Amino acid sequence: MPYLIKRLLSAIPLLIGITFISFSLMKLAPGDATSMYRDPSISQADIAQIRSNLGLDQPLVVQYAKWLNNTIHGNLGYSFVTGEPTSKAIGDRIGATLLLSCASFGIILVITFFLGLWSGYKKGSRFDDWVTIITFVGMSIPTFWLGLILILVFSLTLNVFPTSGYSNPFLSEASSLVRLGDIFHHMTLPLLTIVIGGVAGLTRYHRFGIISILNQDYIRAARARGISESIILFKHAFKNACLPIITILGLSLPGLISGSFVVEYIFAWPGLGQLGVQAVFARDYPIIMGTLLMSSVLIISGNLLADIAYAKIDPRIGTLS
Amino acid sequence: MILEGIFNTIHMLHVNDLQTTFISKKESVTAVDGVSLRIPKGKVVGLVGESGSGKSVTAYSIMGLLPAHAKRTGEILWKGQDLTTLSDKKLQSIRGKEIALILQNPLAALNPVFTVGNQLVETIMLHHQVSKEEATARAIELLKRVQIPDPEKRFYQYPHEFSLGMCQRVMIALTVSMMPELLIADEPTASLDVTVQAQIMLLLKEIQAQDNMSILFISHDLGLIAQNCDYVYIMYLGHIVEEGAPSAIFHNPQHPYTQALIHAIPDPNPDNKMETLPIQGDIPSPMNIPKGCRFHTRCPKALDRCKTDVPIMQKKGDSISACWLE
Amino acid sequence: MSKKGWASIVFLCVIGGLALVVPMLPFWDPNSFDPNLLLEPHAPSWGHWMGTDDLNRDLLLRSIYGAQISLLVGLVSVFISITVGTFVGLLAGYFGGWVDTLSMRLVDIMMAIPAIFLILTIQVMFTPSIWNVILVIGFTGWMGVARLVRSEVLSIKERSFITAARARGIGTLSLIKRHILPHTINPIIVAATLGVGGAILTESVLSFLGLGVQPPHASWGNMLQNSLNYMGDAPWMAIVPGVLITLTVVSFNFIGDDLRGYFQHDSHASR
Ligand SMILES: Nc1ncnc2c1ncn2[C@@H]1O[C@H](COP(=O)(O)OP(=O)(O)OP(=O)(O)O)[C@@H](O)[C@H]1O
Ligand SMILES: [Mg+2]
Repeated sequence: MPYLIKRLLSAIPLLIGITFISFSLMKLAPGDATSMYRDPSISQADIAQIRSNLGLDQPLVVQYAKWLNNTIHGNLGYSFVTGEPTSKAIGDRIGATLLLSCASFGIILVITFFLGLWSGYKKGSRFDDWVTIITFVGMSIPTFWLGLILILVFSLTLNVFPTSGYSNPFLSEASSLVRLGDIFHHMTLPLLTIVIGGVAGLTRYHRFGIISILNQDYIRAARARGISESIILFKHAFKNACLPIITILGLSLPGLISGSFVVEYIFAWPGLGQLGVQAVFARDYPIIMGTLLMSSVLIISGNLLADIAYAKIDPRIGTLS
Repeated sequence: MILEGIFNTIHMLHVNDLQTTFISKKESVTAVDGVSLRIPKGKVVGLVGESGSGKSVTAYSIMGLLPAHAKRTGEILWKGQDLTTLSDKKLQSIRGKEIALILQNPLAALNPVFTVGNQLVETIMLHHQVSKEEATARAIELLKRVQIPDPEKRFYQYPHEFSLGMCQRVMIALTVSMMPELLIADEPTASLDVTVQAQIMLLLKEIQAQDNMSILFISHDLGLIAQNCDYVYIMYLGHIVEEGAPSAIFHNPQHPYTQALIHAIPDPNPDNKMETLPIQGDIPSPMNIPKGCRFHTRCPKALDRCKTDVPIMQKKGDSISACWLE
Repeated sequence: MSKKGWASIVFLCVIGGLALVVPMLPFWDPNSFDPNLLLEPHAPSWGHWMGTDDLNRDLLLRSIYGAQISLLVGLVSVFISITVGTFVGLLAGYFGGWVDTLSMRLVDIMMAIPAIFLILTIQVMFTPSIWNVILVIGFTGWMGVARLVRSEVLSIKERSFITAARARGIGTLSLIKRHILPHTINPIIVAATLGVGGAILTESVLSFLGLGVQPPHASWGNMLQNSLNYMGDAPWMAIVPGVLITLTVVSFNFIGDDLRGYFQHDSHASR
């Protein structure tokens, strides 16, 4: 499929652009890797030596080229704080992030789809009015605050879900089923936080899509053939409605990932987001670069998947490529 | 009562004083205002008017396919039964099976994400108790009947792979598959070029004759209507202004609007020196309907009376028209 | 304007008015504390309608000062985003060619980085201050506007009156000023209204993480950060600023949505 290859290739300059911009930004920042050698017993000369050993005295582009070369060979550098390889830190965290984002994505998709479908179909009804108000409020609640309120209600007051973390260390000996249940138990609140924000943000756009689809001639023509409302909605409108929702999902991916980073941080969910935010506070540049790269890769591959799904559903795209 | 029964079997469809208004917060638009039509069994009835005169809205009103913000009053008697009083469920069982609709733009009338075959099979299986294989065979048969070349291959293609004319053939195939008693054809040839137009008209006449179907043929092309219809209604800004047999309408038009429409037909014969006269000005917006006779703003012969009094339909010459002129 | 829209306007006027007037009055200091009370958070009462925080400071008063900061950050940073975005979008759309390609690639790149990450990184590198927050939010939020303006310009360029104006020998700059900008103004207004809400949300995250507005200045975000340690005992400390943020952002969103509907209707009617 040449279309796919073309899209894959177009992701490369994008990744280079993203990393170059972030790299330059971090080099602009006051302080560098040697800032952690605050120990006065280390002389200026030694620091200069370390700087040149690390290549920090070379021009920006050269440093970037080196970083890129290392990155391509799988070497993302070492954490300034813990000294462990960045790739290992990321590898340890990515599972948790993928679990949380994929689960929330799936749930957001399903809820948004049906909520938008029904409120668009029942445009102007009481149900539609309520969905509109609730989505606007959901869209306007700060994600982190929603997380705090959920903790306040469900953990501190009702005591039904844990406030934070990924799993209960006391269960490490338990059967894998119990451990899995434990992970989901921990995941509920962060998941809920992301899902509420995500559904609210997307439903409105999906509703618009449904309304404009239901106004199309082919829906009128199908009705004129005596086709029932349920088939109109769940066959004729359904497949067409997938297209705008795929586009919106692709576009809102960076926003959703941004949101889930903050959520991970609040719930101490041991994923990339928590790692990244902590690294930002510690000015741990290799880790920051690594997480940034990883999240960009996630976003770009998400967009790629969206494009593929779009081309799969819309027969008009297939012939264009 | 008996008499009424007979009357209704002669006229399959009897639209009585239909009024359709689109209501929005800011303003209401009455697109169809007091329209009455009769369509006899097995006949082709024409409905002519400029763009914006309310032809499509009339068609959608009959089918009950108006958007939610539209309000419809009057009677739509279908074989004696008032469609405006039927439940959605009942109406749905009449649509397609008894009354079918062909839309203005054939490409937009087919769902772009399903194959043509899928949409045909869906419709066939809805209206006939047949298996999927049987429906597929019938669909291919239908495609052949509407003269689509290579129907076995075309069956699996999507609407965007069809030309406009072929899309319209598919729409006709869909209609044929349902075997309706009345077809409302809303400008079925408007977007097609002349040769394709002629082919489609031929096809429509053929299926009409075969199934003894009635057709409400909507067009802005008076020439096309005159050639193909048994009876003609002329519509202007939501009103019927003249009705009669095509010969009467063509050779002895009474209403100045009809006369203007006839003058506007380009004459294919270059020897004929009669020049075409475009109607002056634009059709007024239905949000801002002129008082009195709706045509007086553009009528070359308008009297003072036309600006204040609404003319009623009465027999004049060989047709029935609504005009104050003697 | 719908009922929701009017309610939003009233709410924003009240909040904005209080935020403008109260700090000018000499009676209240947001950092003063009530010496008659124990030094701990107090629940809402007659003396303190919305309760006090851990230092006995009145939450209502601090919230009003916080509103000043939030609205300032929201409005000024959106002004920056709109200016930059309009400028880039105009250039890209009007000149096309490599200018277009380059700026749209930049937009793609900026949009593929999770914004919060970029903002956090920049904030951590510079000393956090209100003006830094405004600049950072402004300069990371212009991409959507640029895309919007570019596509509007492209569609306007297609229309005949631009060609006609060109044929009359009207210069590029005055063409942009007189013919293109006026036509892009409606979608820009909508984007700006919705953008203010977004910017207020971003400010609250930054301040919540301690990278935005710094104490003792009150901002809704840093009031929330402060509330973290008292979540169980003094939930009002978390509820008051959060509700205010939500109501303010929701108001901007309602107004933006109404404006969009209004402009859409307008362009429909004039067509
Ligand atoms: N959904 C709607 N809401 C509001 N007004 C409408 C709607 N549909 C049609 N109208 C108005 O009704 C009037 C008649 O439209 P209609 O489509 O019936 O015209 P027509 O005679 O079919 O013209 P054409 O030859 O262009 O198809 C128009 O002025 C149109 O603006
Ligand atoms: Mg029409």
